[in-house]
Amino acid sequence: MNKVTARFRAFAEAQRWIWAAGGSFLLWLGMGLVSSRLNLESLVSNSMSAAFLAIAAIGQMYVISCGRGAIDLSIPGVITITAFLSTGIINAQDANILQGVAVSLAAGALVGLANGIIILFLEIPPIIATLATGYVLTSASLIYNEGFRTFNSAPLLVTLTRGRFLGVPFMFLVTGLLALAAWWLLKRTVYGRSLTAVGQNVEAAALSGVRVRRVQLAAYVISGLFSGAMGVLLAARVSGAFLGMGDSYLMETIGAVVIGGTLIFGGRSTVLGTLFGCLFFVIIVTAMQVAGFDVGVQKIVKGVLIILVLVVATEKPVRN
Amino acid sequence: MESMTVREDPAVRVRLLSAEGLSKTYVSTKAVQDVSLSISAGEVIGLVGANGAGKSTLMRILSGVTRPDSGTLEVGGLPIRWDEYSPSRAAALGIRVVYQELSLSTNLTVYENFYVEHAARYRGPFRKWREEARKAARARLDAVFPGNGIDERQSLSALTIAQKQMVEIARAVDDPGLRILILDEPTSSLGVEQTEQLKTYIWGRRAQGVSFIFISHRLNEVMTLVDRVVVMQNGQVKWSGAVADTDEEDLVRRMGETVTRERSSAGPRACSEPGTGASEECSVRLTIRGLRTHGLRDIDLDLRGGSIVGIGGLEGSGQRDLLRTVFAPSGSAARSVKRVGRVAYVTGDRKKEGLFPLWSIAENAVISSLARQGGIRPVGRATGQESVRSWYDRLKVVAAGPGAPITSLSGGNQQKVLIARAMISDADIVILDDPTRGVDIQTKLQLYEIFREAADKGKLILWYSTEDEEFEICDEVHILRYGTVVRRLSKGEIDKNSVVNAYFTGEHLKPEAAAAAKVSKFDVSGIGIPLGAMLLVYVVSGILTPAVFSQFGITLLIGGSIPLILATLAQMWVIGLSMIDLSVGAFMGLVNVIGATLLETNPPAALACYAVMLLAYAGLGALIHLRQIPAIIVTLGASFIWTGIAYTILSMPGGKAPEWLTAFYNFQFPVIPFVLVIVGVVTVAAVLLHRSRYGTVLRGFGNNAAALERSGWSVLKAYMAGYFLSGVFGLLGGIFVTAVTTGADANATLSYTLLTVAAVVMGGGDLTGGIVSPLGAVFGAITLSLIGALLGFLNLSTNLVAAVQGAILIAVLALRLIGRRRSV
Repeated sequence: MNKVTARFRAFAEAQRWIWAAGGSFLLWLGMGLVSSRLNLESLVSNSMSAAFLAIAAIGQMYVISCGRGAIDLSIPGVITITAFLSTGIINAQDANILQGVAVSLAAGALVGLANGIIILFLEIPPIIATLATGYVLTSASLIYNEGFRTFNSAPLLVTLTRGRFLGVPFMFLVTGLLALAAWWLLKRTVYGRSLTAVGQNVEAAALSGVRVRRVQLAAYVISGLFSGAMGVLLAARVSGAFLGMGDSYLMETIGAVVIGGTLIFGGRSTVLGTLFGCLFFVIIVTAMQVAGFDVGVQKIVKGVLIILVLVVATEKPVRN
Repeated sequence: MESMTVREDPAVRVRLLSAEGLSKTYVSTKAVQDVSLSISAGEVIGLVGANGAGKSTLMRILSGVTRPDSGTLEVGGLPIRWDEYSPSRAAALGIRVVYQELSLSTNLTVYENFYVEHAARYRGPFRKWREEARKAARARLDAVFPGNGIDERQSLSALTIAQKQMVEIARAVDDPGLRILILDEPTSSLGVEQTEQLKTYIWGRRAQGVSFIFISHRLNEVMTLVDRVVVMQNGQVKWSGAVADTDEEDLVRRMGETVTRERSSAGPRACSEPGTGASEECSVRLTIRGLRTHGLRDIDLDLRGGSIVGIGGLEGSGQRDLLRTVFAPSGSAARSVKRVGRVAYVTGDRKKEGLFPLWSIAENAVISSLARQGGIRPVGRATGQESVRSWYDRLKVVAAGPGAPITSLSGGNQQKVLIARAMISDADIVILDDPTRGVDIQTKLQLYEIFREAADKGKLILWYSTEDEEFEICDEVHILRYGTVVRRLSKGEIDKNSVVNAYFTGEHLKPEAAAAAKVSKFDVSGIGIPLGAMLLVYVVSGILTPAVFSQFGITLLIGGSIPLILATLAQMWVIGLSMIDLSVGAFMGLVNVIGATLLETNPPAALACYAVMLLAYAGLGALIHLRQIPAIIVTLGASFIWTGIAYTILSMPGGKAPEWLTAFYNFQFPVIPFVLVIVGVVTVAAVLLHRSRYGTVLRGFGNNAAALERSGWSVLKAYMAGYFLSGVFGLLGGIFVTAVTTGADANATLSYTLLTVAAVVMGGGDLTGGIVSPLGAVFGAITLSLIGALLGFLNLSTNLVAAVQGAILIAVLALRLIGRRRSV
C-alpha cells in the first residue's frame, strides 16, 4: 500500500497535470450526481468553453515560463482588439477570413513584440510593461468601438467555433492542434529547452550560451499570437466584438496555468496541465451556475478555490 | 576522545563553549556525527575540512539555526535547551556568525543594516536611533578595516563585494557582548590588505578574551592565524591540535585526501609559442586590441590555444569584467575583441549563475551544446546522453546517476557538472571564473588535471582565480590593476610570491575619479522624475484651464485623486516587501460598499466588518509566508472574494454615504484647500512609517528576508505587518471613495489595482529589492489621476486616458533607465 502511494506521488510529481485532470473529473461527476443528469454532453460542452480559454492560457504559460515574475497582462487587451479587428475586416464574408485572421495574428504578434522590446530593452518589469500596452489596447478598442456596427461572423468561422462532427466540436481539433504545436515547441526543441533554462536561472542561461533576449522575446510574441487567434475565434463564437470581452480572461488564464501545474516562478511548464486547468476552471463556473449560486457567491468560490489549489498543490520553488 | 591541546595554562582560560556528542542526520546523510568541541575565551580555532565534511552544519548548530538530533551544548557554563535555542538566542549569548553568502539588505544604508542586526541597542526617537547606529557603524568599520573608504550613509547597493564583506564583518563585531565569532570563509572576497587587517583585528580582540572560529579552505591563512586547528571529515572531528603540531601538508593529509600536486612539468606548448607554424591546433586564438569599456582600459592581449592563461589581481581590479567581455563583447568592445573559436563560460558562483535547479545533472550538462545549435531544432530525451555519461564517469561525479537532480549534489560535484557543460559544448576557449571557490581539495586537483588536458588538446583556458597558488598551474599570468594589465608573468616566473607582489604594481594608475562618490545633480532614481511629471501635467492643465489653480479646481482634482493616493500607498507596503497586491482595488470596493450601506445604518457592525477585513488582509500575508505561495495569485484569488462579498451586499451601484463623512470631506479649512491638508497628512504619515524603525526592518525584509530572519526578526510578523499596513491604507482609501462619490459601487475601484502598481513604480519603486518611495508614490498617483482631466482640457477623447497613462508610465521608466545608465 505504501509502495503504491509512493509511486503515485512520484508520478504526480512528474505529471503535474494529473491534479487538474482529476479535479475536473470529480467536479463533473459530482455535478452530474447532484443534478442527477450525469452525461457526456455536459463534459463536451464544458470542454468546448475550455478549448477557447486554453488558447490564450497556452500563450500565458509561455510568458510565465520566462520566470522572475514574467506575466502577460495585455492578453485581455489583445483578445478584445483582435475580436474587433477580425469582425470588422471579415464582415461576415468567408472570402475575407484569411485577411482578417492574418491581420489579427499580426496585431497580436506586434503587441507581443512591443511587450518584449519594452521589457528586454527598456528593462521594465513584465507586469508593468504588459500593463502599459494593455492600457494602450484598451484605448484602441474604445476608439475602434465608436461607429462599429458589425454583429455577424463569417459562416465558416461560425461552423468552426460552434459546429460539431459526429458530436465532437471542431474547436477540439483547433485547440488540439495548437496545443500539440505548443507542446512540441516546449518539450522537443532547443527553443523549449532554452526557455525552460531562462525561466530557472537567467544568468546561468546567458552564461551557458543561451540567447536569453531572443528566447524571451519569442515567448511574448507567441503569447500575442495565441491571444490574437483566441480573439478571432471568440468573436466568431459570440457573433461580434464588444468592449471588455477579453477582461475575464486575464485572471482565468493565470489561474488555469497555475492550477495546471506550471510553476509560477518559471522554468517548468506543462501544456497538458494548462488544458486541464482550463477545463477545471470552466467546470467550476458551470457547477456553480447549475447549483444556482448568485454572481457574488460565484466570485467568492472562485477566489477561495484559487487560493486553496495553491495551498494544497504548490510545491516550494526548488532552491539550492 | 580527542586530545585537547591548549597552548597556555588551562587554568587561566575560561571555557566559553562546550559541545558534547552533537549529531545531526539529514534524510540520508549523517551531516554531523558525535562531534564534541570546546572553546576557551580568547582562543582562535581554525575549522578545516573538505566540502561536505560537516563544518557548515556544525556552525549552524552552534549558532542556533539548526537543531541537532542529539548532543548537549553549554555556553558560559550554562546548559542550552535546544527548543529555546535560536539565532537570536545565540546572539544574546554572544555567539555570532559571518556568513559566506552575505546577510545584508542592499536597499538599506550601511548603518541601517547595523540597526536591523542590533535593534535592541539603537532605540529612541527618530533622529536618535539613526545617529547612534550611524556612529557605531563608522566606529566598527574603522576599527576592523582602517581606511576602508566606506561611507556609512551609503546604500549597500553602491558598495563592491569586498566592501560588503567588510560591512558584514564589522556589523558582527558591533556587539559589546560578543564572545564567539564564527567566520565562514571571510577572506574569500577580501583583498590581501583587508585580510591582514582582519587578522590584526582578530588578534586584538583575542587579547580581550573574544574567541573566534575561522573556517577556510585557505590553509596558509589558517596556519598563520589560529591557535588550534580542528579537522573535520565525514561529519566527525578527525583531528584537533595546536597549530604548532601541524603544517599545511599535514592538514591536507588529515582531511582525508591524498595531495599530489605535482607542478605541471610540461614546457610551453607548440601553440602558445608565437611563430611555431600554422598547425591546426593554433587556430584557436584570442586577440584583444585597445579594449576600453566601463571597467577596463587599454587592454592588449594575444593568446593562443594550447595554454592555460591566468588572470589575476586584487579583488575588483577588472578581472571579471574582462572575462565577461571576452565571453560576450558588446558595443564598442566587439571591435576590440577578436575571437577565433567558440567560447564557454564556467562560473564559480554556481547557485547564482551556474545551475538550473529544476533539472537533472544530464540536462544541466547538455544545455550549452544545445544552445549552440539554437532555434527550433528538435531534441529528444536522449540527446547528448553519451557525452554526458562519459564526462560523468571521467569527472567521478558523486551522485545516483546522470538523471539525478542537480540539487542533490555537493558544491564540488555541481562544479564538476558545470565544467562538463563547457567541455560537452566543445568550446575552444574556456573561460573559468574562479571555478574552485568553496571546492574541496580533492575536486580541485581533479579539475586542474581536466584544465591541463583541455589545454593540451589545443583549447585556450582563461582562468581567473582568487586563490593565488592556483596560478602556479598556468602557463602565463596577466595581472590586472585598476582595469588594465600591469604585469605579465611567464611560465618560469610564476610562483605565489611573485603573483602577490605583482598585485600591488601599478599604484600610479589609480583613476582620480574612482574614489570620489558619484554625485548626480539631478537624482533620476529619486523623486525628481515623478515630481516633474506631476508638475508638468498639473501646470499644462492649468495653462489650458486656469480654474485648475483655483481653490475649487484643486479641491475637485486633488480631492478626486485621494482614493488613488491611498490605494497607491497601500500597494507600496506590499511592493516594499517585493510582492504585488492584486486585490487592493477590490478590497476598496468592498470598503466602499460597506461604507455606503452598513456604516450609515449600523455603524458598530460596519466597524466590526472593517476590523475583520483588516485581519483578513494581514492573514493574506501570513498565508503567503506559511505556504510559500506567490502573492500575485493569492491576492488575485482574494480580489474575487472581496468583490464577491461586495456584490452579495449590493449587487447594483447605490447606497448612500453617511452624512458625517461627506461633512468631513467638505470641511472648510482656513486658507488652503482641505483636500491638500488630507493629502499632506497621509503623505507625512506614510513617510514617517516608512522611515520608522520597524519600517526600516520591513524594507530590509523586502530585500533579503533570510538575513532579517537570521537577525532575529519574524518573517511571519513582517509579512502580516506589511499586509496589515496595506489594509489600513486601503481601508482609508475605500472610505474616501465613499466620501468623494457619496455612494457605492463594488466595481468602481477595480481599475485601481493595476494603476497603483503603475503609480508606485513611476514614483521610484522597484518591484523587487524592497525599493519604494512614499513621496514618489503619491506624486505618481496624482499624475495618473490628473490625466483624465488634462485630456478633457485638451479637448481629447477620454477614450485615450488609458493609453496616455500607459505611455507616461513607460516614458517615466525609460527616462529613469537612461538616467541610471548615465550615472554609471
